[in-house]
Amino acid sequence: MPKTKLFYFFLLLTLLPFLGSAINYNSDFLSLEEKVPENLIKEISYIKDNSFDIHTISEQNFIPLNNSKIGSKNGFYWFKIILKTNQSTENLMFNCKESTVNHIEIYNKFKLIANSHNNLGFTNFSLKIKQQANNTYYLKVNFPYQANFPLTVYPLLKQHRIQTINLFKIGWYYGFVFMVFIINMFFYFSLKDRTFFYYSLFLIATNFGISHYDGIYNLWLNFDVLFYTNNISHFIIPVTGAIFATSFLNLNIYLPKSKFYGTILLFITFICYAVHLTTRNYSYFIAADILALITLMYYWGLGVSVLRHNDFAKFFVIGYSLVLISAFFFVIPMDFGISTLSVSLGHVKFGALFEMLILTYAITYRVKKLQEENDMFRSSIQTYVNQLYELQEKIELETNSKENTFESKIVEIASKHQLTDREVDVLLNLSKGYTNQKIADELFISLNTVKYHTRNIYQKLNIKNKNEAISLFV
Amino acid sequence: MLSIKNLKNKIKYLLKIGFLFLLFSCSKEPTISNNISYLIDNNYSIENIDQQKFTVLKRTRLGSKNGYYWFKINLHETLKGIPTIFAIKGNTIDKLEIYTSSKKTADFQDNIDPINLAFQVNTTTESIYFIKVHFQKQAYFPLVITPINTYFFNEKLSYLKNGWYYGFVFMVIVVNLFFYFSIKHRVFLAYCFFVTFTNLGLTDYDGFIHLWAPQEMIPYIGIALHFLVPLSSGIFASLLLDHNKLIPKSKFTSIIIITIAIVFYGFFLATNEFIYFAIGDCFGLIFFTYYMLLGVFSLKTHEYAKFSVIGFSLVFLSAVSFIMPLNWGVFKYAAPLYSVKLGALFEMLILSYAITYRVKKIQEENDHVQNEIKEYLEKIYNLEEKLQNKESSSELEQKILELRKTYALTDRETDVLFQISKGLTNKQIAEKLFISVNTVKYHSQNLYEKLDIKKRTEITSKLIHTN
Repeated sequence: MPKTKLFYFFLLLTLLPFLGSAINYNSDFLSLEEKVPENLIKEISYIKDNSFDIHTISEQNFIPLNNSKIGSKNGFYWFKIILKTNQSTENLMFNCKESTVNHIEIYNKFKLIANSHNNLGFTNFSLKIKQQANNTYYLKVNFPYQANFPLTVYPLLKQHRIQTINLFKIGWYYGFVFMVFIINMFFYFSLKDRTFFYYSLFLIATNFGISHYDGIYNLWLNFDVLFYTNNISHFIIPVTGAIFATSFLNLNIYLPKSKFYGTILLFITFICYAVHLTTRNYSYFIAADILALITLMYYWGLGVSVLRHNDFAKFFVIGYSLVLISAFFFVIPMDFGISTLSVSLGHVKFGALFEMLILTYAITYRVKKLQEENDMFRSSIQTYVNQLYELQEKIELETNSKENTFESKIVEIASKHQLTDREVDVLLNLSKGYTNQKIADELFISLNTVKYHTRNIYQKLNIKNKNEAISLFV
Repeated sequence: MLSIKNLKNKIKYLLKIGFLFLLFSCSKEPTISNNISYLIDNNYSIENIDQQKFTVLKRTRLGSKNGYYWFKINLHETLKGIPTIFAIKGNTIDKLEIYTSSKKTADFQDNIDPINLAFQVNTTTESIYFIKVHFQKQAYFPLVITPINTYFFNEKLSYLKNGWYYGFVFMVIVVNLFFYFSIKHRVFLAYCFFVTFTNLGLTDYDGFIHLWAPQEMIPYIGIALHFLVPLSSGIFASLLLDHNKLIPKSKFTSIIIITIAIVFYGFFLATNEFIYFAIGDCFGLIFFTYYMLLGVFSLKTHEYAKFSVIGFSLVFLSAVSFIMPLNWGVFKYAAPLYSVKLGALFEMLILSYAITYRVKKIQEENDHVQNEIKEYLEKIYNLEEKLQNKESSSELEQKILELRKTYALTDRETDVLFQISKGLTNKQIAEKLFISVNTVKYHSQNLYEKLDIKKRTEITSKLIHTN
């Protein structure tokens, strides 16, 4: 219908601003300040700290940093940064988008000009400095987790602009997640299906983990607390994921053994995280991360294997494909410092959004099925009622007419083929489509006797099977 | 059942909390730490402005008279001599100049905030500042002067919160769209439009409109949204509550009200006098009230009326307490924009709950109908069996009919006798004939008496020996 198409068109038009504001509005936003140049970093290089200080550091050999990811070796690093000369601005802002960094010192000409206490950032470190005459800055940075240093240096206002956009996006994402959570809780309360509840839990766990990468909690919690919450969040993701997958895919029915292997995987993961918590050795954290990813992939594979049995498995498989892949290429390169093939947190969030949309669609799909079922039930009730009336009418007719066509036919056959009384009884039951066993029960004779009689009947009537016997009466 | 009731109570409780929260959020506007006074411009310039008499600004909302205003600011001690930001939220100012010591320090072009107004001013020991402002719409001057770092921090928090809110809204729209596609009911689509227009309207007030609308179109889009919001709400309400069927005349009245509103908005566009715009807003709110009252009237007849009434009243309450003081500058207490958003948030939650409520109803109905189908099937099987019995064991029936004649049995007794002869237990008979076990016992006792037998097995022999 053209009318509905017009509807969709208008709908699309009205939704575009929202989509636009969410996905791509940087260009418009930033064009207000065209005078501002790009990122001011000209050169950046690093060296792992071997108890250097600011006076000895300038003599060391620095390694150029091509990509922000250095690797899995955590601890203190020194960075040497040479900035482009820029006359137009007085104030600069150093911003490090990695939220796990917990200590920064900025030196210029052997003088400490800013450190962590001057932080103006919200979810990560951003330090405001006055532009110095010397373009070379030394930074001392502590990485408690992966050594990842995505530093940007912009004039103050531009850096502020970039950060506000970023925060709007972060907020947007969590607002979206919150609504998905709410709708699932509502469905849990109204339909009383545990799966919705498990999904809500999984949703919270996943986004609790993601928000650690965002650095949302840096506002309220200190790094010691975050150390524990980060480990916990990483562990509860596969746990809740396993529970949700088991419930969503009915794994207890289709693949009862899957639970066993899942539990083993989770147990090993748990041990790795626990060891990391006690020894603070970062390599256990990496191992645990990999195990957690393997657990999630295991459940994804289970989803693939029950695709045929379960109508809803396709949503699960499609929904989680993107977020799993993006999580894999986010976490693994981050942990090992591989620069190729790595994706940003934005991609992971995009995957998560996609997954939430697919599973929300699964809800409406389910509701649609309910509605269809409802329509079907209504129509079938109608047919049953009709049938009932027909039967009742038929019964009334039967009681009135004494002639029974069925019986007369039997008598006709019996007399024609000279069947015995017992054979007539068996034939009568055969024509109803009963099995031999049932006939035996019905006539209080043994199964062998029934077989004996049927053989005789087949011979007398010159037929080969039950179907032909039934067709005699039609 | 008990848990569901509890849940309902809990939800009612939550709603009450929401209401209270909303009422409390209509608090007094933030106190002004700097001394601000104002003067309506009569062609003054910076040279002669300091000789004029200024009126002290007691509240930020000055009313519906638009045009040029002068503001005189006596800067607070603590803000002197540091880099500060003069920030003004709102969607009404289109020209602005800041003066100090008879010199212009900032112009409208120096705005550093892409969605609202913010001017970087490096304050000196001078404490008197003059600001010349042109209000395109309502005269609303919520000036906040803060040190630059504080400003940045607050801005970031505000972006985070607003992002959260609009992300939530986006998902509400998506969910409703999904439901529209799967259930194919127009009411979901109408709700999508309502939510979209309402929130696009809100972006006009909080400045995020600059992120999606072309700069020169913003005033027109703002006006369009002001009548699209009530219009879409009316369509949604009438689809949800079947107004067109139940109250067919409602359509007529609503069209009249919305037309009046459009006419007034048109006057504003033609004359640039904000007062027409404010009157148009009043008619928009009357339109809202009208549909809310219709909802109240259909509370008893329609299941979903309670959701729409609660949801609408939340939006209505916050909209009235926000827009009326803003447009007319009359009330001392006014709702800030965030309480409007809070109201909208609760409204969306309630109507999302209405969706799940509807789904729940469908499921309950399905369970119910399924049981019914079972009953029907059983009846049909019984009848079919009866039919078959008539065909196959007419001999038995014949005998029973004979017994009925000779012993003068009633219809019911004959039925029971027939079932007993088939070897069924009392309970089975009761289920088959849709009577209680006691009734079966009663009938069979009568039967025993009439047939002069003592046990069930004797019936068979009686049947055999009748002929």
